[in-house]
Amino acid sequence: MATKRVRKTGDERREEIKESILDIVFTEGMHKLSTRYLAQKVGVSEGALFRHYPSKKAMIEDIIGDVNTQMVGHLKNIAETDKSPLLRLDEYITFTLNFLYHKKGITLLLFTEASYQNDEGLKHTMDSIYKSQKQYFTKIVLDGITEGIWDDTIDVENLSRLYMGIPVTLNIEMILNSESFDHDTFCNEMKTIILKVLSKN
Amino acid sequence: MSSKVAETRKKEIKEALFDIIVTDGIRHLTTKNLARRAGLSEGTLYRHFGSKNEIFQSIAYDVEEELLKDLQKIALSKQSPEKRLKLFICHHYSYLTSHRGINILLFSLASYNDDKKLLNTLSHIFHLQKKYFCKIVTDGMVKGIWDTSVSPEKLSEFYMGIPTTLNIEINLEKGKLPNDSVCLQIFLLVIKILDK
Repeated sequence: MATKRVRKTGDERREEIKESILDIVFTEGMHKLSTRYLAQKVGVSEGALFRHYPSKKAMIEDIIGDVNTQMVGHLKNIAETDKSPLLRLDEYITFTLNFLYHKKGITLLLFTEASYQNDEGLKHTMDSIYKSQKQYFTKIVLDGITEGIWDDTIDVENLSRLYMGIPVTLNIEMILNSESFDHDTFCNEMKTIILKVLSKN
Repeated sequence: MSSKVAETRKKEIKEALFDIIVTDGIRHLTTKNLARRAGLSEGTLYRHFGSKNEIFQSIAYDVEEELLKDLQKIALSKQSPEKRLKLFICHHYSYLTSHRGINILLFSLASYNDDKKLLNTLSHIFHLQKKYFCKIVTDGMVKGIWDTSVSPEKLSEFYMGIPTTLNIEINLEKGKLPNDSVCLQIFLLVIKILDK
C-alpha cells in the first residue's frame, strides 16, 4: 500500500516518551517527572501515555532495559574482541562516555531511582548494570597486564572503582558547568589519566 | 525549652531521618513518618523545623561544618603535599562510609529537589571538595614533586567520582562497605597519576 502512515507506531511513541523522560530529568530534575507533565511534553494525553505503558515505573524499567541492551551488551563485545587491550580500552571509554553524553539524564535516572524508590527489583538491575561495566573494564585491564603492556603492581579492583566514578562525574560536570563543559576534552583527559595509572614506569 | 534541649531534639530528628533513608528509602520520608520515628507529634516537629527543606538545609550545613572544614584544614596545612593528599583521601573516605544516610540524601536531593537555595548549597559542597583536592595537587606541582603535564582540574574531576561510586556501592550492597585499605589503595593510584 502506498498510503503514508500518519499515526506514529507504538515503538516510535515509546521512543518519544523515553526521550522526553530523559530530557525532563536532565534539564529540569526528577521532581518534575509526573505523568501529567510528561504527557504535555510528548504532546499526548495522559490516557494515551498509559496506552503505551501501564505505569511510570514501567517506563523507567524500559529505559533501564535499553541501557542493558544498547550499552552493557555493546561494552561486553568491546571487552571480548581480539583487538589489543589499548584499543579496546580506548573504545570502551569512548563508547561509554558518548552513550551517556547523548542520553543525558540516564545516569541520574538510574542512580537516583534505585536509592529513592528503594525498590528491590530496580536495585537488582542497577547492581547488574554497575557490576557488568566494572567487570568488563577489569577484564581489559587484566588482559593488558597479562600481555605485559601494563603495570602488574597496580590494584585493579580499586582502579575499576575509580573508573566507575567517571560516568557520574561526567553527569555532574555537565549539569554544573553546562556552558563551559567540553565533552571531547573531558573524554581525552580521562583516558590520559587511566593510561598513566596503567603505564609501566 | 532551653536551646540545648532544642539542639538535642534537632539532632534526634536528623538521626531519625537518616534511619528512614537507610532502612526504608527516601520515598518514605514524609513528615508524618519522620515525626513517628523521632517519637514526636508532627506539630512538635514543625516547631523545630519549618519545613522538610529546612531539615535538609540544616544537614547540608552539618556537612559543611563536619566534612568541609576538616578537608580545608588538611588542604591548607603545612605538611607535604603527599601527606596532605593521603590524609585528605582517607578522611574523605571515612566520612563518606560512616555517614551513609547523608551520602544518599545529598545525591538524591540534587536531582529530586527544586529548592534553589538548597541546590546552591549542594553545588557549593561539591565544588569545595574539588577545590581543596585541586589545591593539594597544584601545590605538589609548584613544588616540583609532581608531573605538571597532568591537569589538576581534570584530576580533581576524576577524583570526585569516588564519592559517587561509593554511594552506589554502599547503596547496592546494603551497607556492606569496602574495607579500610581502599583509601590507601586509592591514594596509591592517585600518586601514580601524579608521579613524574
